Order: sequence, then structure tokens, then C-alpha cells
Amino acid sequence: MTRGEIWGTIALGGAVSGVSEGEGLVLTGRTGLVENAGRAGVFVVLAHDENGAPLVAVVPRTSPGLSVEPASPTLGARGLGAGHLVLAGVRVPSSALLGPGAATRVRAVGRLGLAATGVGLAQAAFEAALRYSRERSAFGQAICQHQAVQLKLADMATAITTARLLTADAAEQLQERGDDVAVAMARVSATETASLVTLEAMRIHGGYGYTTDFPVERYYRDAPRLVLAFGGNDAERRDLGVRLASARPG
Amino acid sequence: MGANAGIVASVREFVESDVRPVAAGLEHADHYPHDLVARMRDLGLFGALVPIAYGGLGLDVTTYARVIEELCRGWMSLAGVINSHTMAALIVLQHGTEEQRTRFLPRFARGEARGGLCLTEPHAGSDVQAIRTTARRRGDDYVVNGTKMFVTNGREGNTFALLAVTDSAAAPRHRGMSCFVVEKGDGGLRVAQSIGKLGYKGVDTAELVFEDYVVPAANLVGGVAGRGFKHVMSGLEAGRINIAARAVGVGQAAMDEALRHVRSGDVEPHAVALADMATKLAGARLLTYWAADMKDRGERCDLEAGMAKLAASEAAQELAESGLRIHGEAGQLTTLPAERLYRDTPLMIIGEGSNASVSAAAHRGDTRAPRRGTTWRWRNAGSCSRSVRSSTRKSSPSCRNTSAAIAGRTASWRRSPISASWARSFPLISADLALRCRPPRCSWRSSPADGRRSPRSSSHTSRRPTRSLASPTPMAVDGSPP
Repeated sequence: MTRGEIWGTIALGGAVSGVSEGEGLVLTGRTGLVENAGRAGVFVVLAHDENGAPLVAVVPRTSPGLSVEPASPTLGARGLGAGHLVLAGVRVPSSALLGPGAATRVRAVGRLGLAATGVGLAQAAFEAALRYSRERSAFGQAICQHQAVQLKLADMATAITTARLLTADAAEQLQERGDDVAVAMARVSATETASLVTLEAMRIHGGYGYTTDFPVERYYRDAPRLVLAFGGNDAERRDLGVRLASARPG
Repeated sequence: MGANAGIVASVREFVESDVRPVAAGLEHADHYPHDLVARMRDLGLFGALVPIAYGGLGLDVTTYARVIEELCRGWMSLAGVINSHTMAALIVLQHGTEEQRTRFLPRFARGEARGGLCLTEPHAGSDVQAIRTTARRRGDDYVVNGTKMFVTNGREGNTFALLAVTDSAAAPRHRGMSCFVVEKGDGGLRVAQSIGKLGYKGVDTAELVFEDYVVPAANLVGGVAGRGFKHVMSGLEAGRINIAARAVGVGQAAMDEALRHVRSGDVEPHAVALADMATKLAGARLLTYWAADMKDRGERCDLEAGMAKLAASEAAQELAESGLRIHGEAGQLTTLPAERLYRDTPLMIIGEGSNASVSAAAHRGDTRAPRRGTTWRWRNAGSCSRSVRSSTRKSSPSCRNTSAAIAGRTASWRRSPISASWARSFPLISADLALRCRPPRCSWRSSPADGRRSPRSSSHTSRRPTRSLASPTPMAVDGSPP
């Protein structure tokens, strides 16, 4: 996988149940939207056992009972061949199960990826807006000289910087302490920054931002996926709130 | 003036039965909706604001806003077909000579002449004074050269209101601009491209190129050169009310879809989001009807229309985004309308004076004076004829005290019978109440004017059943369809 000979992808959402049978597990259910589902050779699937405890299994594409159901076209993140995995009694040997804590870790890395994607997307939108505001003139000067545009650029840059720092901090905490509280904050901040900044970039572009001739309309379409994936930001907030509330003071 | 309930009900029925089933297909294929346009013509919508004397429906602006809202609830692109056309017709109605009215309005009303506005140019959007398209006099004609951008109906339409420079030496520049009614057919006018868009598909948005296009001087609106800028800007009140109404319609669609989704599962996690959505939507709707009502009373409403446009367009985008969240991952699928609404809503933020410029105009109010030179007053498209008049007189630079303008206008808001009555009577909203009092298989907002309110709708509004959520509009609507 590291050499890129086989593609892997993670399947975190949806409802997959794992029932132990003999040495291994039998997976049944349908996952949420999985990117690269059409091309990946290996899936890392999150399931829950009879007691609701999370399990992570590595499932080769060729496993009997596994099928990939292509999804209808999506708003953004197109061209990835997204689809749902349908697992009809897929047998997984215990050797293909990841160890305890894997579920949390896989989810944390996936969510951190969303945060980093959000930062990159927002940065791209910001740069496009900055470039455009220097090139486009109205009322006798470049629009980046208008205060209304400058205030927007300032807010966008501030939000992106905050999101980037939170994301870097989350990566460090996850790496060093395996703590994913910071991941939740980074994910919420970065994905919502992406939503905000892509819309602001479109405003700065004016009518042209609404056309397919400029990339900002694509950025605007790409942003919601980051907010919606893996249960969405509302779930992220709830989890974070519960953990903050139940943490010991001091 | 109350809304004409009959036409609103007819449009709603048309949207439910004819539009909703096909909107997604047409939108994703980016197909022009010829059949639906023909149906709208049968309903008389192309003559919505054209007086009865010229063959139109002669609707008031409030009714027009509600018609636009209903159309957008099904598919926003349909409102684009109607509105650009209406704006062109209004320019002829309000500023044309009697001969021009008689010649063009009945054709506009019948939908034979299908109109649009040729205003924006590739380099000049909000900065309308920077346009470069010229119209030079040659005998009994004018010869037009230039490029016009983002012309709604540019490919499918045939009769456009065009703003061009007739006197490039005029100072300020806007006094050298004139408005013409131009028709396709005699050469010199070609569609350079249809513009690909994020949303608002199906309706065509085109780039039009005029190359030695000849327009008879008889088509110079009003017969006098140099007034075109005023003609175009005077349409912005109605234009912004229309955009606000569109936003309300799309916001309503987002609400409808969110409720439809939530009702199939667990409501509780979404209750707060739904309540916020409902509140934003109600506020946007009230502002829109309020501005429309002022327009109908003949009052100046540039500020109010700007506020309605601002609030409603932002609300619609927020509702669409909340709607996506409520749908979860499924919200991204093109099989559901939620993602289309998310793509449609930025248009209202950007179009008809981007919100950045509208908010600046609303903030400054109308009494502001130019800050630097004569161009400043147009920078923020303060719109409308009054501003044009003020441009002719020198006034002292007092715009720093912006709150004075707002304060001056608020006095008149307090006098408004609407603001007082709705503030008292509008019920508190909770998502729970909203869900329960909503009649089944009907709209979130079903107006009593349609006579289709469910008997259940009053069960949770003990004191003021007519002000229930099923009827959030404080505007009087006359009882029965004609």
C-alpha cells in the first residue's frame, strides 16, 4: 500500500455490524459514502459488534459478499468514484482485525484529514480571491483597494491561520499523546472556515465567481463534504462537549 | 394593497404539479424549460406587472413578489426567465413614450417579445458608469458596438433593454448614457457564449456581442438621449424586491426539504436548527413583503428593498447550508434538491447589486452626500431616481454621520402599520410547534388566501389562529380567489 500498488480507502460511516463467528467476524450492512470506492483494492471498514463496541477490519475488494454500489453524482469532490460498500455476510479472519483502540485512531486520522483538507481548500479560495481582487478593478482602482474587500480578506486570512494552527496542534497531540480532543476542535474550525472562506471568495469574485470559468464555484461545492462527513460537525460538537463536560476540572 | 390570491394559488399549483417533478432533471441537464415557459405564458406571468390596458395582468408588486417566491420554491431558474423580462418591460412602461408602450408592452405581456437586460459588461458590473458599449447616431438610427455580459435570457430572449453610451464626452459619464429597446433578427447581434454557472441552470445566461448593430432612433427609450442610466437604476427597487422574493422562495424550499427529511426520522437533534431556519425565513419574508407593500403604496423604498435583499439572500444561503447539514451526507447527492438550493442561493447574494455594495448603500441611507467627486454616489448603487436627482445638486459632505440617515428613516418605519402589528402578533416559533401545526402534504407556509389550510393548523395557536405559523405573513390577503 505504501508503494501505491494497491489503493486503500476508509469506510467510516453507515451501519455495519460485525458478528463473531469462529476465529473471525462476519460483516453485514451498508457503509456511508466512501471515496475511491470504485478503485480501491482494500477497504478499512468500521463496524460495531453485538455490544456496540467499535471494530476495524481490513477487507480486500475481492472478498466474497462485498459489492460496491456507485453513488449518484455528488455536489462536490467529484471524480473520486464515490460509492457505498454493501457487505452481505463478508467473512473477515481475526488476523485482518486491527487491535484495540484502532477505531478511535482511524477515525481521528480521518477527521484530521478533513481538517487539513479544509485548511487547504480555504487557502486555495483565499488565494484565488486575493489574485482576483488585484486584477479586477472597479470605480477606478483594483477592488483589493476597496475597504469592503480588504475587511473580507483580513477575516478570511485570520480564520485560515487559526484553523491551520489548530490542525497542526491537533496532529501533534494525536501523534504524541493519542489525544483526539484537539482533532475535534481542528475539524470543526477548519471545515467551517472552508465553508465561510469559499463563500467569501465567491462574493469577492462577484458574478464571475458564480461561473464555471473560475475555480471558486468548485471550492464552494467542495466545502460541504468536509462539514458533513463522518457524522458531521454537529456530532463532532456533541462529542467534544460531552468530553469537555466530563473531564476532571484542573 | 393585498396580494391577488388567485394568481398566487394558480402559480403554487403549477409549481406543485408541473415544476417540482421535472426541476431536478432540467437543472442537471442544463436544459431550457420550454414547456414550463409556455405554461407560464398561459398563466399570463410575462405580463405580470404590465397594466391591464396594455394586455398584462396588472399585478401589484406584493403579488408579484409572492408569485416569484412560489416559482422559486419549485425551481429558481423559472424566476429568472420572468424577472429579466419584467425588468425590461418596466423600463418601457415607466420611461418609454406612449408610442413605445403601445408597440412593445402588449408583445411583452403575451410573451412574444421575451426580454432581458443588457447592462453589465465584462469589465463593469457594480460600476455601471464604467460601461463602454457605444450607440452612435447615424441618420434615423443608432449604431451599437460593444459586449454585454451575464444577460439572462440572452440566447432564448429576443427583445432587450440595452444601456449604451451615446455621448462619451458627457460629465458625469452617466449623463451620456441612453437606454434602447433592441431586438434580435437584423444581424449585428450575436450570442458569443452561454456562461456555465454554479447553479441557476436551465435558464440561459449569455454574453452578447453587438457589432455595428443598427437600432432605430424610435427605440430610444423616452425619445430623449442621456437618461438611460436613470432608467436602469430606477428599476433597482423592483429588482431588489424580486431578488428578496426569490431568496424567500429558495429558503422556503430549503425549509420544506429539511422538514421532509426530518419527518422521516428523529426530529429532536434538529429542533434547534429548524427553529433557527424558520425564524430567519420568517424575518426575510416579512422584510420582503414590507418593502413590496411600500412600493405598492408608491412610497420610496430603495433602502427597504436593499435591506430585504440583503437579509433574505443571506438567510437563504444560511438555510440552504443548514438544510445540507440536516440531511447529513445524503445532502451532497444530486438526487435530492438540497444541494441544488445550496448552489442556487449565492446568486441572490451576488446578483442585483452584490451584498457588499447594497449594504454600503443601505448603511449610508439616502441622504448621504458624495464623498469624492461625482462618481462616488454611484459606487454603491444607491439606486433609483431620487439619487439621480440629488446628483444634480451640490450637497455638503456629511456622509460620515451615517446613523443620521438611518435615524431619519426609522421614524417612518415606526409609523408603518405593518411593523407595529407584526411585532405584537407574531407567534413564538419552536420547531416542535412548527412541525405539529403544519398541515400534512402541504406547505410550511400555506396562506389562508388559498383556502387550503388544514383544520389542524390552528390547534396550537390558541389566541391568534390567523397568525399561526401556517400564516406567517402579516400582510392582509384578501379572502377568496376571484
